Amino acid sequence: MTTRRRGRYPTGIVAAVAVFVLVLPAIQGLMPWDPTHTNLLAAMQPPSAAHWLGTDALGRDMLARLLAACRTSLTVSLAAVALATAGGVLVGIAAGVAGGIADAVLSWAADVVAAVPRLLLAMVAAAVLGGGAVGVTGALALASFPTIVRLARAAVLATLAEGYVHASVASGASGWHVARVHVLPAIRGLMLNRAAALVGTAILVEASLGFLGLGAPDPTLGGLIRDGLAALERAPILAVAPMVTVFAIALVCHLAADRAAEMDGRRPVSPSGA
Amino acid sequence: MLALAVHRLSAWLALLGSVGVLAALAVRLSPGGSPALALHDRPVHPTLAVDGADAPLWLQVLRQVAALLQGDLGRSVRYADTPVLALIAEALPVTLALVAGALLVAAATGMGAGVLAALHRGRAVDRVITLLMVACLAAPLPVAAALAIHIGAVSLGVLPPLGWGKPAHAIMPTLVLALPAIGHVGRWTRALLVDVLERPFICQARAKGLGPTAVIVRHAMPHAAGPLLTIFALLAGAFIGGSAVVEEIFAIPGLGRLAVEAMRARDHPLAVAVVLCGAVVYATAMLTADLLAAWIDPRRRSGIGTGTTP
Repeated sequence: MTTRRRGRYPTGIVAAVAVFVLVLPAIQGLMPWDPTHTNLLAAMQPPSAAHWLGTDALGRDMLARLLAACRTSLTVSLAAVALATAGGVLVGIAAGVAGGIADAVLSWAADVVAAVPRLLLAMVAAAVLGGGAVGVTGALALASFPTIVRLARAAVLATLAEGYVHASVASGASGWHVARVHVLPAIRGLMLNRAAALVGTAILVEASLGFLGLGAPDPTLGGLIRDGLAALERAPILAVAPMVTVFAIALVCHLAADRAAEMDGRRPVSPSGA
Repeated sequence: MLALAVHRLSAWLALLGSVGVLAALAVRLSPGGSPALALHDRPVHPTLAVDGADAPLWLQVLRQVAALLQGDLGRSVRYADTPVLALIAEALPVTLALVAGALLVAAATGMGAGVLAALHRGRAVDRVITLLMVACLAAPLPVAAALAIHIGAVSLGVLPPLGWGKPAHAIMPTLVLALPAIGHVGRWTRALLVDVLERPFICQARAKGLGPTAVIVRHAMPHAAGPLLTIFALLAGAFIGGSAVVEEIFAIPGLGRLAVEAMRARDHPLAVAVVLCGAVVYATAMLTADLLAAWIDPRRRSGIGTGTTP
């Protein structure tokens, strides 16, 4: 596929700005409102100047809750994907460069983890790791792990087949040198854009976990959706706001990943990365 | 072809064996990992007392795996001592019906959209379809479900909002489950076709006077069939996970609902069985996709060492 450069900047910039806008207020300390402050006299209020997105059944400010939920969900998803990418790339490179039994064992481990459907795996892992933000992060990382390992391994094998790597090996380079100097730079772009797409997936899985009541502690985006749906008739904004937020974050992650892949002019990656 | 089938079948068995051992281990390592503890103040049932919850971890796992091999999945804690096998046998067909329906919808819609986009590559149609596909991917299941209920049951009032039993009940959950998959299939179809359509044999097919339909159906699509079959198998696995959300919302008595109930109630025998069930569906779908791809594409028949990914 030839590289298409036309019109690549607007989407990329929009995506970057959107992430910035979502992340900035979510940083602790920059948020002036308290998401846990209840006021039963001001419960279920429509949007107003004081409460831009209205209040929930306990009179908590919805905007504050939404931002706090964004903070939890984004932190958990980003940390999980960072963890999975770092670990997965290491394992993938080790498997690809070492080959032989090490490759067989590592690929096998990735296959076993991948055999359990992502959401199911996340549910079990969150239960085993004891819920909480750390447990959910671990669960999401585990669920993203096999995808990264497989992609990294495939990319490593493709790189190892290149002439310059053969030349390097023939001139006496060690496996470590090949991995560090040739393989890692070659697969970095691909892994980063897959990681961006995985953040989008992780946000969706996190929202599903929260929705099922198996996610990180309140407030999370999934939990807000569940609570909002319960009061859909009386105050649709309570459900619509977190729904639009999750959708927007996932959309932005996928668009950013696509744009990065397009700028790279890459051919489609293996379906196992889907 | 036979050697390939034997190889894949043995890999299938070994994979499920590993998942079984790990699931049994993981569940025992979770907080409240012993069945006796999960009962709280309820009287300990004789079957659990002889279950050997006081045995060392490795022995418990070994015993459970031995029991699994004999087809004994244990008894549920959440559902009053019902054999887990009976619960699964009741729930699995429901979920499989959803999965099959969603696969059909995703395959038809996604491939159609993907072909359309690839044929109009770079033009407005392509860009609109590509954006729609990404939107499908990014749609959270609870959101899709809420929208579906709002449109189908509230605004139009033609479909039942929840429940299970009549064919009409299956329509909305199937569509909701299929929605993200449509995005995956559409994007992959487009990407694979764009790649294939630049090959010389397509140019040759056009040069000999074949129309666009014949070029796509007879020449381009078989080329893309292998990777697409892998996508469908991956999606079948993803649907099992997604069914947890969809069945919870639409109140469908399927596998996903069992999974959620098992996690909430820390019903470990049921949790192990549900995880294993999900792995069985995924691994079987992968096996089928592999063999079908080898049947369609002769180049894959000898490729024992190539693994499941194209």
